[in-house]
Amino acid sequence: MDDITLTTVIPLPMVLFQTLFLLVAIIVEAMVLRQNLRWPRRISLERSATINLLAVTVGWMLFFLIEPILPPGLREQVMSFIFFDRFFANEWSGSLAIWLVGAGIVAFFLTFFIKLEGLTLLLRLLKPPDFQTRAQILAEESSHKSATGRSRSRKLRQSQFNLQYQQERDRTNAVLRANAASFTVILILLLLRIVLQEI
Amino acid sequence: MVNGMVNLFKNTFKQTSQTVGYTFNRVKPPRSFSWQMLLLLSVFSWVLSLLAEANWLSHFLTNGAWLFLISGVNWALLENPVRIFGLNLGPWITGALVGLFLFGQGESIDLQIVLVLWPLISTAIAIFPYFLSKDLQLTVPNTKAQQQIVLLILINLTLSCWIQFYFNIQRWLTQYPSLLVSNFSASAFVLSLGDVDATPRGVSLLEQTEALIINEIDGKPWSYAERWLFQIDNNLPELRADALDRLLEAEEDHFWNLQEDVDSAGANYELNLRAIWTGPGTLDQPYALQETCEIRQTQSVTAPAAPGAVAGAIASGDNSNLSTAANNTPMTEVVCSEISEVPVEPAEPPAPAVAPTPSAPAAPTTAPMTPNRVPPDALMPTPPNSAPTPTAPGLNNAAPGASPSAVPPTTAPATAPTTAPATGPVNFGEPASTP
Repeated sequence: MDDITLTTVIPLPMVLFQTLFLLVAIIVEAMVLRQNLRWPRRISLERSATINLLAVTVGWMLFFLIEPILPPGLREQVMSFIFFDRFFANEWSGSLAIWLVGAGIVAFFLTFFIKLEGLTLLLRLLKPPDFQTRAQILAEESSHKSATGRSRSRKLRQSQFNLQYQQERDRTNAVLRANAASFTVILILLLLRIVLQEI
Repeated sequence: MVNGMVNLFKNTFKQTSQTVGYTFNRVKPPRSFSWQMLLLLSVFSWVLSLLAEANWLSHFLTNGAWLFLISGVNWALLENPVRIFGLNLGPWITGALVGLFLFGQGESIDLQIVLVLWPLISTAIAIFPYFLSKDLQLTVPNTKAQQQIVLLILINLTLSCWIQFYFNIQRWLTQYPSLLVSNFSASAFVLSLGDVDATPRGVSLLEQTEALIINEIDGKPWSYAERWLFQIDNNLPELRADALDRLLEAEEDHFWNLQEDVDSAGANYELNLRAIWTGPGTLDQPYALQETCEIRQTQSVTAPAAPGAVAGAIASGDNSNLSTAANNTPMTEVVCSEISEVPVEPAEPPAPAVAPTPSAPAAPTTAPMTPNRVPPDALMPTPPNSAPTPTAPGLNNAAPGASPSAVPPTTAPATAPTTAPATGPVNFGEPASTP
C-alpha cells in the first residue's frame, strides 16, 4: 500500500459516465416516484437523488471491500475490463458470462434493497407528520390496550395500521418500479455505447 | 454604528463556525480584528516556530500557525466567496487545509488519506453552521436543511469513492506495471494524460536472463556451451525464476512466459529468447519481446596454423580471448541483439519444439534449420554443401583452425552482428505469419 507510484492515468471517463448515469437514474426514478406516490416534483427529485447516491456509495464500498479478496484470476479480469474494456483469456474466461449475469442480478436486488431501506430511513429522519413505521404503530397499540374505550381505540388503530401498511406497500412497489425503470434506461444507454462503438 | 459593526461580526462568526472563531467571539473583537490579522498571526507564529529552540514549543507554534491560517482563510472565503456555477467552494478550500493540517504533516505526506478524506472534511465544515442556532447554540436543523445535509454528505462520499478509485488504479498499475505499455483508449473507466513512460517488465526479464546466460557460458569452453545449450529447454524455468529473483517482485510476473529456441548458424548458434505477455492488453493475442543472442565460437589461436582465423578474431574485436587463449580449445562468446517487439501467433509452440534438437547431431538438423535463416545464408556463399563442414569444429573440438573451411564461420560472425539485430525480428516474424 505504501509504495504506490502515482501516474497520470486518471478515472475521468468513469466519473463522467457515473455522473451521467446518476443524473439519468435520478430523473427517471423521480418521475416514477412522483407518479406512484403522488409526491411533489421537487421532493421526488430530492428523495430520488438521495437513494441513488446512497446506492452508489454503498456499491463503491462493497467494491473496495471485495476487490482485494477476489481470486487473483477474477481480479485480473476485472482489471482487464476496467483498463481495456474487454476480458482476456485465463482460467476464468469460461465461467465469466455466468458470473456477470449473476453479478447483474445481485446488483439489481441489492440496489433495490438499499434504495428501499434508504428511503425508509430518510423518511424517518425527515419525519413528515403522517409517517410511522408498522413497528411503531404496533408498539403504540399494545401500550393502549389497557386504556379505557378499548374497542373503539382499537378499531381506530386498526384502520390507521392498515393505512400505514398500505403506504409501506405502495412505497415498496414504487421503489421496485423506479429501480427497474432506471436499470432499463441505463442498460439501453450501455447498449447504445456498444452500438456506437461498432459503427 | 458601533453596534452595527458588532452585529456584523456576530453574523460573520455565526457562519465561520470554526472553533477558533468561536472562542474569539467570546472576547469582544476589536475593530482591527479581521482575517488579514489572522493570516498575519499565522505567518508570525510560523516564523516564531522556526526560531523556537524547544521542540514542543516549535510544535505548538506550528500548530498555532496552522489554526490561524485555517480560520483566516475560512473567514476570508466567507467574506469573498469563491463560486463556480453558484457553488460556494469555500468549505473545500478550508477542508484541504484542514486535511493537510491533520494528516499532511511530517516527513511522509500520506496523499491518499489527505485526498480521500478531503471531501468528507469539507462536508463537515460546510454543514457545521446548520447545527448552530442564531445565538450560537447547538440545534437540530429543520427538515429542509436535513435533506440538504444528507444530499451533501452523500455527494461528497461519492467524490471520496472516486478519489479512492484513482488510488486503486495506481495500486493496480504498481502491481502490474506492464499494463502501462498498452494504451487505454478503449477503456470506459480510465484515461491516460500524456505519455506514460513505461517499459514492459519483459525487457528487464530478458536482460536478466541474458546476463545469466552470459554468466553461464560466455568465455567457457565451446563444448560446455554446446552441452548447456542442448539442455536449455530444461533449464529455462529455473533461468526464468532466477532472472525474476533479480527484479523487484511484481504481481504480474506470472503473465510473463519465457521461450527460447536455438538455431544453428554455421558453426555458431543463434539463441532466440522471447518474453511473452499473456496478461490483459489491447490486443487479442499476446505480444512478445525478443532478443537474439549469437553464441559464437571464438577460435583460440595457435598462431601459425590459421592466419585467417587470427584475422577473424581480430576483426571481431576479441582481443582478450586472443591473448589469453594459450590452448587449443575453442571458447564461447555471447553477443546479444537489441530487444524488440515481435508479433506472436497462438500457433507458436511447434517452432520451439523443433529447436531443442539442433545441438545433438549437428549435421542433419542444420539442414531443416537453414530455410529459417534467410539473411545469414545470403551472406554465406555456399549454403548447401557448407552445412556439414562448419559443424565439424563443433563436434570435435580438437580441430579448430585446421581446415580452411573454418575461415568462413569466423568471418561470418564478424559481419553478422550488424545484420543480426535487424534481421532477427523479421526472421522470426516470417515463419510466424505463414501458418
